[in-house]
Amino acid sequence: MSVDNEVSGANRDPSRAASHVSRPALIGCLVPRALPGVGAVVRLRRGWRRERFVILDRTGAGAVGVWPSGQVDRRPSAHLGRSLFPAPESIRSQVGRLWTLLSSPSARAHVTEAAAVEIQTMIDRLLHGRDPRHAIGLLLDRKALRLSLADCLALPIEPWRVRYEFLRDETSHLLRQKLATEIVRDTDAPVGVRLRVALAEGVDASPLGETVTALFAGTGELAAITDSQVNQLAGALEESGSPEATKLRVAVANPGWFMASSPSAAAIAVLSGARLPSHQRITVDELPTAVIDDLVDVGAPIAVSTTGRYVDAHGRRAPLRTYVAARTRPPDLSNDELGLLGFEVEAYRRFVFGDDAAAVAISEAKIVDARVARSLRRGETPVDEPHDAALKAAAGLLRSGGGLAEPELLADRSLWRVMIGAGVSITSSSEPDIESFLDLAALHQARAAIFEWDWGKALAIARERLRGARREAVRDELLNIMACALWQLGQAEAALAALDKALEGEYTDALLTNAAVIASELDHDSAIDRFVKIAREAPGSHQRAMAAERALLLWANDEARIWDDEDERIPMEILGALRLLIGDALPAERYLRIIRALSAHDAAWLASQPKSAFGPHADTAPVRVFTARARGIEDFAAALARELRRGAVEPWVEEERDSVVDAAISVLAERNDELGPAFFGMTLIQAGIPLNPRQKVLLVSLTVTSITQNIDPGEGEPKEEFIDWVGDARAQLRALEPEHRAFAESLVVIAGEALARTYVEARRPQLFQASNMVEQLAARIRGIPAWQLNRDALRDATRPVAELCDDSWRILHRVRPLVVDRNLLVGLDAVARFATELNQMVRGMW
Amino acid sequence: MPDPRNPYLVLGVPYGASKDEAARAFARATRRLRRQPNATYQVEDLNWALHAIEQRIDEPASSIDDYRMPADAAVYEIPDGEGALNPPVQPLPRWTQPSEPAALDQLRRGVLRDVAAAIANGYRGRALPPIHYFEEGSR
Repeated sequence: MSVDNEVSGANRDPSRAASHVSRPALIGCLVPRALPGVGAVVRLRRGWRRERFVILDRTGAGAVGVWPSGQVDRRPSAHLGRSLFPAPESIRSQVGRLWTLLSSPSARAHVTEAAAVEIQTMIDRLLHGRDPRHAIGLLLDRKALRLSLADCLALPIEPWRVRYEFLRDETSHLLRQKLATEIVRDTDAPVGVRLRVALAEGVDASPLGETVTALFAGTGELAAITDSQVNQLAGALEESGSPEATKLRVAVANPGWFMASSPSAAAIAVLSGARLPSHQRITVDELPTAVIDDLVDVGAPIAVSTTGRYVDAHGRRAPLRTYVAARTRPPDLSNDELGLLGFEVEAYRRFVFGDDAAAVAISEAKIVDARVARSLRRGETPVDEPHDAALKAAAGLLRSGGGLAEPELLADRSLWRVMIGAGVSITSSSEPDIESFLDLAALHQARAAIFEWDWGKALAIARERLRGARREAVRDELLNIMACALWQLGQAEAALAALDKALEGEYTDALLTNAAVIASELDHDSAIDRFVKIAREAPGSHQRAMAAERALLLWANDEARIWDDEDERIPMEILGALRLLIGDALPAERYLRIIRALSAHDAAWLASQPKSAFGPHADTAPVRVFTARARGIEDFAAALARELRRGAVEPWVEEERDSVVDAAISVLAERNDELGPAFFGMTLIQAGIPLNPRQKVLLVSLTVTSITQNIDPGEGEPKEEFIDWVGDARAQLRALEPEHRAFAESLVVIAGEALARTYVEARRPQLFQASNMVEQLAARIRGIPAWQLNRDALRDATRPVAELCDDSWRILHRVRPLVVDRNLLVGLDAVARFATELNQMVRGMW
Repeated sequence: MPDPRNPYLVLGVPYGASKDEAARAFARATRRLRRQPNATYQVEDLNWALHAIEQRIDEPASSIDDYRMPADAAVYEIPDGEGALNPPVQPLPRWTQPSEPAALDQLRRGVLRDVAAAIANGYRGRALPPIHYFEEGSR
């Protein structure tokens, strides 16, 4: 009987099933264990004697046993006495325990022949009774009872159960194969058990029928399998302890469920509309070609791993891998593969794009068209006459050097480049395609005219198309072309008007730049406005900075004037544009120019900016120096001094130093009678700015001269440190070039003599006044006896005079080396001598 | 007064053209001058323009010195659509007819076989499950 019949329920023998374990409910069998005490031999009181009692079974209230006489009796459990032979716990079945009483010598010694007969009777009744589990229990105890396969096969149990149990324990491969084969061939065994054994042991499953062979062995015809048969097989396997078989039921109902592991399932799922996980590709090696094509048509990701499968059709034969590539990735194919497949469309495409080798896969009828298309694509006039209508029309236009084309030709946009290049025109229309073509044609032709210096032609083309163009970007560019042409024709005002029109609405920074470039040739205010606009609106910081500088340049109209301090106020809009740039990451040179201009023209605003406003330049020398400059000359001088002392300074720092020092020298030379320039020079000197010898000599000399000229000797005199300054300057004279030295030396002498003259003129009246006071005092004390004079009081009264004399002598002697003029020396020495004599007179009175 | 000449226009190249493009345009413009003796520009202008472009900054986009022609290069872009001169990539037409229902049914059976094969692989060499066993405890 085949499984195919069996699983469908045919040939089931009810009588045989009744004599064995019924199927399928009892494939799995739970065997009750023997109750405690069963199989034991105990001693019990029987009347006035004690006798051996063999326990055969247990009931709820007591035990059934047999006396030595063979009499079967029932005794309460409470009366069971001491065991002569305990029940063997290692044997779990009731039959096994009773079997032991007869087969174990130690037990048999306690059992009489009469009792043995009853025990055997009990065993037979249990084994052949209605409950087959007693026999199965004996089978499960086979190892403890040392029962062989033959012993067990003799038991009233289905042989497949015996073999199944022995198979589970068997270690010999050969014996396992033998047992498994016998089980698989045993048509009394449940299908699930037979199939499971066949699959686990790898034995021939053909006795199970064609369905099993086709399904599990992969051989045989699948078409004959019905869903019902698969479901029944799944059920049989499940009943035999194989829950995994549920998958078969799922596969019957929803095959797409298994798309992750089965290419067929994935194909079904995809063809049913499902989407594969992004990483998954369907390996189509085993799928029918039509299904592969279906998958390609729905865009499923597929892969071919086999190289041995071929596809045949239309008299051609190609490897599946090549066929699938042609269906999915034509550019990956070689030209030989194109020939193999007869894939002319791809070969044609390749040839048009320049691949000569692809010609082998193109028919004679198409190769002419391919050559023409290639020529047209390259902008060459084709030699051949094509068959394709569009190609024929395009070739004709190119040969005739332009002309009027049919609007239908515009549907093929790949022809536009050729048509525009050939100067083809087309009847004007409001059709979007035609409008776009006319726009492009006009733009290209006008631009070409500009590049060929044909300003008039460019102007005419742009002006003509401007009447029909509607896209703002196109109109703006046409206006840009017109402006360019007009500008080159010397009509800058008209050019600027065109650009101003283009700047209405949305515009590009290029248009703004163009307007500024042309405006620069007209009035500067207009150009400045445009550059300021660029400085505010341009996308790049460099462009904004350039525009701001250009605006400043135009305003100044003199590049040399821009970076100088000027009293004239820069227009606020230019300052606003410059202000926007102080935090931008600009090149150092440009940033320097901008912040320098702001320090000169927008000092109050720059001085008020926090450090963070300077962005990436916050800690740079330009920001330190020029924000200091914005705060005032003292901060500026101090900042310059700090930067110059750092060493390795950038040239611009020295240039700033030179600029400010030269400015001070210049203003001191021109306005030496004013105190302002004198303080300017003094501030620079006191800041300790490192100066070159020439600067130092000139700056010190002029500053000291200016200061001394502005001091009234009757009210004050120069600080003594000025003597040191002039002395230092004189020491620097040696470092000067000879051609500068004479002039510088004269300035030093002027400064020194101006100092000396001021000191002489300041000290002389003081000393005369002191002398008068001393003489009056001397007159008053002349008649007083010497011993009556209070000399301490006299000393206290005259000490300031002595100190004045000392100080005057010291200063005059310090300044004397700076004097060259003989008359001044005489005067200076006279005052010094006078101070000495007065000092002697005073000290003589003490 | 700035120089009204624009080096890009003199050589007939788009604004921002590279030095190589300028050199090629210089050669073209020189030939044009031979054909047009009364042309707008002279050889001196071409020399000046070539030199000027070579000296131009590396980033023309940020310059504001020269008239930009074109101002918007994007509007000149010609659509390169598919067609006779730009044939598209086309896959090979299928060599088979669309699958019949019977073929798809066959495919479904293939799934059953794949699943059965997976189950069989899982069983191969594995211990057989017990089907007979004693109850735990007594009756």
